[in-house]
Amino acid sequence: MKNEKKIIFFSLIVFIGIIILEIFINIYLKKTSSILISQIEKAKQYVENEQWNNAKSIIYDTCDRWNNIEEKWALITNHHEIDNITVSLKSAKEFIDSAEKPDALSSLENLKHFISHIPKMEKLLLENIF
Amino acid sequence: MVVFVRTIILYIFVVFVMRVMGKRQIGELQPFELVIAIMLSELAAVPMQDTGIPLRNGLIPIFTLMLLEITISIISLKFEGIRKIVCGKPSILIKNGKVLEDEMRKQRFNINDLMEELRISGYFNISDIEYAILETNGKLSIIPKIKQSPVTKEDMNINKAELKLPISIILDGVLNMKNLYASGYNIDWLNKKLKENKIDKIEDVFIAIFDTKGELFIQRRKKNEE
Repeated sequence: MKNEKKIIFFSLIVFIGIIILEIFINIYLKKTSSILISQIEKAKQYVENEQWNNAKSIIYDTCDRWNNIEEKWALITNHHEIDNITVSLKSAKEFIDSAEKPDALSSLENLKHFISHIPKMEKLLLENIF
Repeated sequence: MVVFVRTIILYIFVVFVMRVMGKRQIGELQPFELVIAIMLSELAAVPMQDTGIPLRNGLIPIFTLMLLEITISIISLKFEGIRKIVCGKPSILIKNGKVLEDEMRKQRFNINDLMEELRISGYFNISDIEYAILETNGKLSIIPKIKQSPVTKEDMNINKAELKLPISIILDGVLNMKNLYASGYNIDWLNKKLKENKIDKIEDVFIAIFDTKGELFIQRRKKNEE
């Protein structure tokens, strides 16, 4: 009986732990992805207006931020998704460096899609469950 | 190296989860336990080899299955109705020496399966069986007819003392004080017994155990004899 109570208590702690962890992960993904997306939006605007220096500085800043976030996201989400983001970010950076407007815009759009896809995938939605 | 570390983590984790789930998991499995055992092995194996999958994707489902298993087993322990739904109920396949065809059909248990199970249990004729019950874990319990059941000591009016639980005192030269005191003796008594067996130290004993008759069995270590 004592052992049973211990197991029930332990299970309850694990259950609450999982719920709290998942909520925390959702909040964290939402927060970090929205920061990255707003940076990308800004970079897109600069590229559209052909303000290459501003676009460069913001994409370099995004790269730095991504380097910090990447390690944490790797604990949470599929590593292939993270690779997609890294590849898109690198190509966007190169296109901005060489002032290639259409390519830069398309890779930024790709990047935006890959980043926004991750918190969407973790959301408790019917489409994600089934 | 990553796969190596992941394997260690998942192995420790799965062993831990199996221990928490209890002994039933490694013995006879109920349907819901079998499902969990199959899923568990798959869930642990996939993130073990695919480094692209975060460990969390393996750990959380395993933990969730453990929670489900514990919840279902506790609920089915408390409520018989739930137990019937989750585990099913035993089915009688042979009653009073007659095979119940309807029940056999219901359980999709053919006559060859039945005969095989009977033979495995040491019965070769259906007519020797009074009852055969298909248990919820898929095993067949057999109650033979009285004339076929083995003779017991009670039938023969033999009075013997009940068997005792064997308790190990020394295993491979290591004394278990807890077991020694639990069996009602102390170290002085043990030393005396060792001397009687011409053994000087506890380290020289390979095994010392109270057998089912309550007598102390001592065997000296081989390497010390030579």
